[in-house]
Amino acid sequence: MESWEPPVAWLDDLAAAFPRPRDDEPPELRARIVKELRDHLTCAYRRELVLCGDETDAERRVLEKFGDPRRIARKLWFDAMQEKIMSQRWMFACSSALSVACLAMVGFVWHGAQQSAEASRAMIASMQESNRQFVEQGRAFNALVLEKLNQPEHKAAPTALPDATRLKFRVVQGSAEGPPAPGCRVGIHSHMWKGGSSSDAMLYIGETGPDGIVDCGLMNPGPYEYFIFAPGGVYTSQQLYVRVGQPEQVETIACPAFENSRREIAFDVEWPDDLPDAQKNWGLYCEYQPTYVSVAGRIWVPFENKAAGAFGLLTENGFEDRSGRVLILPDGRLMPLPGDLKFRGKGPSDLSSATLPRIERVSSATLPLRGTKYTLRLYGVVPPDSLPPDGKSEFELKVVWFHPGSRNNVDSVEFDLANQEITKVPVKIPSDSLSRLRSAGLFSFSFGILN
Amino acid sequence: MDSRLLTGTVDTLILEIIGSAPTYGYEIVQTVQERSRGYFEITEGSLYPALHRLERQKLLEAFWKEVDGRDRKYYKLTPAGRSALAAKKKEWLKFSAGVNGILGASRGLA
Repeated sequence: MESWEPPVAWLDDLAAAFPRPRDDEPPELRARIVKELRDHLTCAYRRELVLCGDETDAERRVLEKFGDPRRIARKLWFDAMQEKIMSQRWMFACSSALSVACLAMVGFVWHGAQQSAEASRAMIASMQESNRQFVEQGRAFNALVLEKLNQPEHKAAPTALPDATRLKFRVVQGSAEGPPAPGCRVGIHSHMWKGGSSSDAMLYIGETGPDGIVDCGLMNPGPYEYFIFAPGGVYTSQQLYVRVGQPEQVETIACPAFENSRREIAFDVEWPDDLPDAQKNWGLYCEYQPTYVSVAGRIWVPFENKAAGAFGLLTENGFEDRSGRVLILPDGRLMPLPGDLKFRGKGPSDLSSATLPRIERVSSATLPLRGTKYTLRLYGVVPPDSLPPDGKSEFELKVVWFHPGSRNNVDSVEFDLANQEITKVPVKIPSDSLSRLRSAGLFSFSFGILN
Repeated sequence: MDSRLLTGTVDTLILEIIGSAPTYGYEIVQTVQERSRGYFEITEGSLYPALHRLERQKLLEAFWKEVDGRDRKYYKLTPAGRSALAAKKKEWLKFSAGVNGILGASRGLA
């Protein structure tokens, strides 16, 4: 009789009344709340049983007077944790406001660029530079995230509580009304990204099915960060809050359309009219790379090509390398160049051709590309005597830079694969580029192409 | 009883009962009912949040004791709690004297 307890099931429910465990809560907080309420309910039950003599009646009377024990247990937990929770929510709100401000700023710059042709050129150049820097700075970030996504698919919310919410992502192409986007890799992170470390773990990693939907399973209410990698070679990340009191939360995300986005693109070089005919036989050395894409107000960022290549998962899932280097030959044929070119000098060829690595020449009329927007950066020309000769499998290239000493301030051409009418991109060489080229006196770099 | 009259006095009642001797939640509810002859009834939904708040304010100190094979949480007053109780009692006496004075004056004028 000494250890007697009322035979009521709701006493055992007390432990399940709390929200998901937090790292910053005192270790015995929950147990102490449960023990105190359990003792109270036991005392009340014994008293009522003595008064009425019937267990069912005693249970009913205790609950009528006490109310829902789980609600009180939850309130005691929230009261104890209130200061920490509010502090965290305040930080989350500040971070969200900052994100909105950043997006608004990007939108403002974009809008301004649309209004003025001159301004747009300068702004686009600026954005391209920002893009390049962003991609470079994000290399480590991408590598880390991709490494996490390379882990086997799993659902890591084993401690989901009864009030957890089933979280789903519905990814569509182009707009909310667009077709489903299968094959998107989705990762859920439990904390706001703070630069990351190898110890940070994804709570969930999965892939959208044919209907564009991925079920992340039960998630306890709170802030999370998600990453979505679309097969078009772009990714986005954002914070979300899993809300309380609903069985299911579906986030609809519109990604850049990638179906039917694989295109064969040719380039049509337009040399200045006043250029001597001999110089119109130059080759054109370019680098192409995808750019930011905005879909339904959300920015999608191309991920860095080396990171993509370094992780087999991406190529296996269609996340192929979408940037590269290409030599446009005088007859319009294209010669793709490998991405790991080693530049061999800073002035007129300082290496003998015998010391340069070699590669077999391959050319085609078109370049296979996939995705949406691209930038083609025009770096320099290749004189006729340096062009790959027909019938030989080995050669050396010399590139004369339009802008010696700078890889950032270069002329560029933008094109969008979403425009189905584009099959040949006009590449107009600015006259001032060639005037700089002449004044530079054919200052040249030499490089070999590695196998 | 209009439960709004009890608002603001729950802390004082809890401190007063615990001031007599260390006690626990269920006993506090029973004591309030007995001493007020059933006039006051503190619900558990307001009692425990108040107890935990007073504990966080360092006006109460809790300790655990095993009773009937179960752990029971007892509360006792801290020195700060004793000072707070004295201040609250003094404030209540002033308040009730003021209310009584007004009600008495009204009755006299009637």
